[in-house]
Amino acid sequence: MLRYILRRGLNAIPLLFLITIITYLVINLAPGDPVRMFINPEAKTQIDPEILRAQWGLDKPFFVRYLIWLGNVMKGNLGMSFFHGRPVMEVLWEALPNTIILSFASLVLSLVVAVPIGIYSAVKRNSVFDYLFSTFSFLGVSIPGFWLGLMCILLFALKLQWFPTSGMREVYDHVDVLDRLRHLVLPTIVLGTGTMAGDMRYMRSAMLSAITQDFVRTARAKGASENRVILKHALRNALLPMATSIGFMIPSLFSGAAAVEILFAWPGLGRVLMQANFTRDYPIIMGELILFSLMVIVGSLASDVLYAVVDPRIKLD
Amino acid sequence: MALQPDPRSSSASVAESFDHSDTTHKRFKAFWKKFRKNKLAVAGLCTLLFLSATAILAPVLSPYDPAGDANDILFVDQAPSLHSTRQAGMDGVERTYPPNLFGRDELGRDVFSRCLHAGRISLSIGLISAGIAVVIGTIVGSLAGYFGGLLDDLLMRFVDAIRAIPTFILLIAIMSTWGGTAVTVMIILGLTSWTGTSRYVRAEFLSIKEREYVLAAECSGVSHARIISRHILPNAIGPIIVSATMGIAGAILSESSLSFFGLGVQPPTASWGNMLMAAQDINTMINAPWKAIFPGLLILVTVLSFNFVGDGLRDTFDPKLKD
Repeated sequence: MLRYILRRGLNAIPLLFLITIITYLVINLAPGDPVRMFINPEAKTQIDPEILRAQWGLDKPFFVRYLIWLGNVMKGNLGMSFFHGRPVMEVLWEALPNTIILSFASLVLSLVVAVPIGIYSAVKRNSVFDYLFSTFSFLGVSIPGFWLGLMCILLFALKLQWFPTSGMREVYDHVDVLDRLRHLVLPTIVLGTGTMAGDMRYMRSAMLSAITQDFVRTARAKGASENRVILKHALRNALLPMATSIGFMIPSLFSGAAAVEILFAWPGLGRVLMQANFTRDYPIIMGELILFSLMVIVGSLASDVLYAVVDPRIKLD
Repeated sequence: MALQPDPRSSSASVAESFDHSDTTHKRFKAFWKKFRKNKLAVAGLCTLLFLSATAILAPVLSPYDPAGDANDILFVDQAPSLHSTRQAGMDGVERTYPPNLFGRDELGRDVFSRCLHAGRISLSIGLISAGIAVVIGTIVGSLAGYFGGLLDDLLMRFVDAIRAIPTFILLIAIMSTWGGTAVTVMIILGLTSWTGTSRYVRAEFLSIKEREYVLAAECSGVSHARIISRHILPNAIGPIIVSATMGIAGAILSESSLSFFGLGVQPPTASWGNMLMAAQDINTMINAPWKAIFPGLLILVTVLSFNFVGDGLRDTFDPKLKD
């Protein structure tokens, strides 16, 4: 088991290097000279651009600059944020738990709803229930997430006034768990619905392919009750592809989380990224790209380990 | 002699009379017959044809100028109406105003006309970026699947690296340094969404590569380029078309998300996404919700139709993939 984890981990390292290259290229290849933008042509005393260039290390060739930056990143130094005036790592570290809370809550909601519905859709194939939820799945993947968010805010927060419109908590002196939960509801529902739709279909197809297998026919022939056949034999095998799919869901979960955070003013990584975009805070943007990729890779690793735990056949290769 | 074929025999004349020119036509007809059975897909296709027609004919169909005119200031945030009104403009001249089917926005512009013109932008961005993505994905997937080995490993690592970065995060980062106009949005969306197609194409190539007619072509000394383009690619066209259709749906969603957050198409050019951006304000949502409802509904209907059609195409190409 440890060897399996190590092997998977080692595979991820070249991937991370590739990601750092992509990140650096995307931000630093763009046209525009920061030195020329910094210098004010109307100032009385002019700075020599070459001195500034040398001071900022911009006179070195591209590849050398990349390596210097990479060395810093590996030491954990993601640079200084232009806008916040604090180390990038600090800013991101504060926002990270909020994003994790939102993503995790949505993932749990999506699985808790999608798995039973997927099972029942597969068992009662082509019934009214099945068609209803297939339609719901189609709607769920076609609806723009931010529009769903707007409509939810319009209906639940403004018209019905059941939930607050934005933010993570009200500014109280004490920690009010109920208040925080109230703020969590709408963003979680909006983010979870998109994920839920895809999960339902995936669970349904996983369940269907499990039900058509020979061992199910054998279990029925041996006289097991239908409940036992479905819930004990078929379900266990259907959960295997579902477990792997969690790893694939993670990038889109984070993408969706970023959009939801911006819409609901949820103080997470996505919102920080958006602010950084408008203030042209490049260290934060680069730091976020690295951090998100790292989270996705760790998440995939965790999902692979989960799969190996659930399916003993995997560890053997 | 008995071994020589008799030119008057029926088999020879059957062979001569078999007309190869309408094979493609026959295949298309068989395909269409199967596709037709999926009612949702047909409904989606009809909706798409209707929406495309309205997008192409937008200048003709719009009752108002989407950019608005000087008299609009009298009608800010007006509710949708089904009847025309007669009113004096800023200059005192009485005019008949056509019905505002979707109401007016915060600058007094007619939302319906703006939606029609925004449809042009959103649909064309969706089509072109999906086109770019499909082309890149097919090239990468075919090279990886056909040549295998080191090239395959390198290309797939590259694909994995791009997939590891959440797409929306990558888009925000790229837009912050490169972005802003409709053309940039098209190119960047195309450059970030090709990884799905490349995986499907690679899988198809891996399986088709082992078939007998490909091996025969290789033995005959046909060049690699010809084998890929003439022998393998036409048979791999199914997943490519399905990918393209789903890709258009995804591109429309991505473009509207970017425009909504101010990163895509910039105002005053209308796009369904940036029309919703203006509708975000709390006051607006309480007093003039139509600005927020209609553009989003149009995005939903368009993307849903593309998804229905794509799903129908997938079922028609290979029903084994269903369930």
